[in-house]
Amino acid sequence: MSWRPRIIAFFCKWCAGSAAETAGVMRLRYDPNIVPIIVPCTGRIDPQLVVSAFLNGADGVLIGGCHTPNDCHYSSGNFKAFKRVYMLRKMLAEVGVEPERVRLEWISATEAPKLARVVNEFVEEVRRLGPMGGSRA
Amino acid sequence: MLKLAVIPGAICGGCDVALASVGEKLLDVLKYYEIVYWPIAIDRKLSDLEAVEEIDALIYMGGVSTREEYELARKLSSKSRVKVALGTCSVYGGIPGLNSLSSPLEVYKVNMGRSDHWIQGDSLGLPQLVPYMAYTDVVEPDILAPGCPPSGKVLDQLLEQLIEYAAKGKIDHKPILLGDPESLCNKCPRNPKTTKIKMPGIKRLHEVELDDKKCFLEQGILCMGPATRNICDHSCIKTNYPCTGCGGPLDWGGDSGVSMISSIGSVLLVDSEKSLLEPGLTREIDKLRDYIGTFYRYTLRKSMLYKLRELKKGGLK
Amino acid sequence: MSEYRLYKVLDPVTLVEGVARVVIVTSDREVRAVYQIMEFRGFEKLAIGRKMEELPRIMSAICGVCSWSHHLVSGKAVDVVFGRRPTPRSTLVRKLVNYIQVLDSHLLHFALIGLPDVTLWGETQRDISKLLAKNPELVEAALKTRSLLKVLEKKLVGKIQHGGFVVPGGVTRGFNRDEIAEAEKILGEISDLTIKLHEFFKDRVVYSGLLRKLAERGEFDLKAYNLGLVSGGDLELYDGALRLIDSRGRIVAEIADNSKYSDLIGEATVPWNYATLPYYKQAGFKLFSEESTILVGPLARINVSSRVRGEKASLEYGELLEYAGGKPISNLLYAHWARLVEIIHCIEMMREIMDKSELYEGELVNTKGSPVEKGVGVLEAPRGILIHDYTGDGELIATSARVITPTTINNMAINTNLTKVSGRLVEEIRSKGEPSRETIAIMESMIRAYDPCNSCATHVLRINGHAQPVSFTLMVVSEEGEVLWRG
Repeated sequence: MSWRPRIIAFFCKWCAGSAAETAGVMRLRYDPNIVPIIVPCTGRIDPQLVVSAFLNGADGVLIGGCHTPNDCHYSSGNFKAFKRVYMLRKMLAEVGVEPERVRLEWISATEAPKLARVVNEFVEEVRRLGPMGGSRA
Repeated sequence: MLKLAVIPGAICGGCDVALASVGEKLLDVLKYYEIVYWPIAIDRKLSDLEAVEEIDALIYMGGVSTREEYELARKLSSKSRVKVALGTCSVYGGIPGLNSLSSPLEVYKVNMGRSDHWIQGDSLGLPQLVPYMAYTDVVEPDILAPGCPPSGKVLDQLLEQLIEYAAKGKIDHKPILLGDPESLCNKCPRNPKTTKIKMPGIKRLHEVELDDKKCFLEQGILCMGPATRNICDHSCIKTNYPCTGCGGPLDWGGDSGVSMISSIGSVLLVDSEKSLLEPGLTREIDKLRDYIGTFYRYTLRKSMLYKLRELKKGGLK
Repeated sequence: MSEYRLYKVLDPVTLVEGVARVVIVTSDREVRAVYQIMEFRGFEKLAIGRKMEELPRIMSAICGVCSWSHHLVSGKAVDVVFGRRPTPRSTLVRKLVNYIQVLDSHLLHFALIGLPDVTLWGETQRDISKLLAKNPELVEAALKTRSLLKVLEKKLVGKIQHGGFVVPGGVTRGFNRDEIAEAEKILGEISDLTIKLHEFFKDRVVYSGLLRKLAERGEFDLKAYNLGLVSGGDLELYDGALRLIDSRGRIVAEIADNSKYSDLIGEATVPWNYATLPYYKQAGFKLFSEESTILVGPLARINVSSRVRGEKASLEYGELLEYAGGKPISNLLYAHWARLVEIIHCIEMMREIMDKSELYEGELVNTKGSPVEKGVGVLEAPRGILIHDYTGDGELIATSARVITPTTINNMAINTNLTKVSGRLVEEIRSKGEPSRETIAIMESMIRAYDPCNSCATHVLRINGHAQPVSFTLMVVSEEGEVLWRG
């Protein structure tokens, strides 16, 4: 069996998670290679979670949150996520892991088509990058 | 009398001197233990140690850099009942662990590359290099005593553990990570209001005249306090130098780098996020250089990031 | 020496932190002893990619015994890279710390290794415990200096090993008058105890004629180039010109611009040592030959300088030279006395600095300067010349680092010196099957006189620790690897 990318997606419940629900209701098709995990806010996402995801088999991690500057239900959790993801990507690059494997996107509850598009794009990108674990196929 | 052996691996000497400087507490330990090997203090040969059938407590200092060191560490540990990793090099790899991402040959070439004169020939039995590792990569230790070098506090705890072992004959819940299970910030002599830290930007150590009372983060200086286990009496902070994280992460199995960037995310420019927006924030974060040397200076070899890199190379299972 | 065979192995060198060993190598015509350094940590590689203002703290980890020497010299190098002249106050702070480092290291060696080694000459076990049995008061005094030094260091610098206080252009903290007043008291106590050690040494080793007797042994002789810092011709431990003299005492070179050290020092890489063998460049590399060997350390400093500052130190210096019959002194056993001169010198210089009002006034750091690509720092560590040479990019991230430690420089000297013994060693083994106690004692004393800081022995490689009572496990191994004799 040929390799399929495994993506973990952290969606905040207020925005991206809601969009994911709606996408389902609208029967929008998006790549099934993702495992969505709903969190209260992207500000809850510790970079350690992202790295753990990779160490446990993920080939890519997608994070969906509320638009800056004002959509975050907890005011500025999304800004914390932004800073952390930005730094994590730099850190990954320093050890030779492609920063493109971690993607942060703002997706509001009404943007179900955007969610579907982003997921498909990301899965394609990770497919292009190949499996995280070297020669795993 | 129980037998205690102190084994130096790839060390700098700091842990040896620190251990030798504990003073009278050592005499308490000597009531229960006979030191069968400790090169800095005792004139016993390795061959004597090879003749010892069982070592009750083995204290290993430093990392492992050659095949000989590796074999010795393994052999002696297998006949030791209690294994102690003393010092950050032994527990986490330490500063030499910064070379973990390179092969020994790549490291050696840096030196060879600029010599004025080369001689070819026999290596006369010089031990073979192995990819650098911490002692905790060779064995699973019972007691972990971090610090570069370990503070008086950690050494006291270690000696107490050894005395307890002598009395009880066993170690409870291994491995024991010495020091306090909280971050440095909780006990920092500068008494920061940890829930209200505002980091005004990213500054390098040479860019500011350091204030000796204010929290370093509040001066824009990276202090590893939030991500570092409280294992010392904060001599560095008191000398007006930011913590560089020599105590390692808060818990065994933790990672100092991801913890620290999470902390920075929490405090950096928190008052101006909505005015700077992403472009302004990235401009400031771009001033951060050398993530590995800053956040993993002592712990790279045992970090999640190292595991990730090994996974990428196809090495991890 | 293009072709040689391993003939004998002395393995390992015990009572030295870390692992070093002595190997004897033969070819058809010659016999050589080789001091092998055996660990590997790679500081020059790990410095690459680091922020240069952080190098002083990072590079101090090269050695846990003379960590401040590395911290300070790294600071000097980054001062240059950042284009900053350190403030007068911070320079005094750094100099004071440098004297403490040298004092600590010298006292440790003198009291725990040098004194026992020489005063107990003729006995098998020459260490502090043996001396304790014979002269308990003396040993007590020696150990008391250790605890006093630790108190002094803790008070002034906080973390004793790997403490950070040097930043480009200055230091992070200064001293106030109360602290220094306390420090002076402690220094006074150390000084009094040192007098006891001094008197014992002079009595037992000098006036007894023991030193003269031992000094006649050719085995301890090394007629090599000597290198040290001088300031106006005076012995200097922090900021000075590099002065090189030849084995007859003629000044061969004096370089005020320390960054030109590589005009004098070249490095050779050999396959049997993870440390390089530095040599006098102009002479060309001659393995194991006094003609290209450079000696550094207390004896070299005594030899290259014209004067030693400090009233008592100057007197002691004069007495040493008179006893030895002039300079340069080529017998390594005089290094113990040289160390004593420097101990006295450090105490006097520390008192001088502590009296200066500039130590308490003025800026601690100069944050203004235009960065440049390269910076070199040179100072005298306890064991000799220490060099850190850094290159960085436009964002002050290190692109390369070169570190030459005094024990690396003396690596060549030790190896050259050892060849003076290996002849008799081979003779004894061939005829009696084992080396004599005397030969072993000579080798031990010889290496102890160098006070090798095996911690620093190489920037590429680390051997741990500092000089300890060195004794050897001798093992004679045939070419086929069969152990013929073990001692």
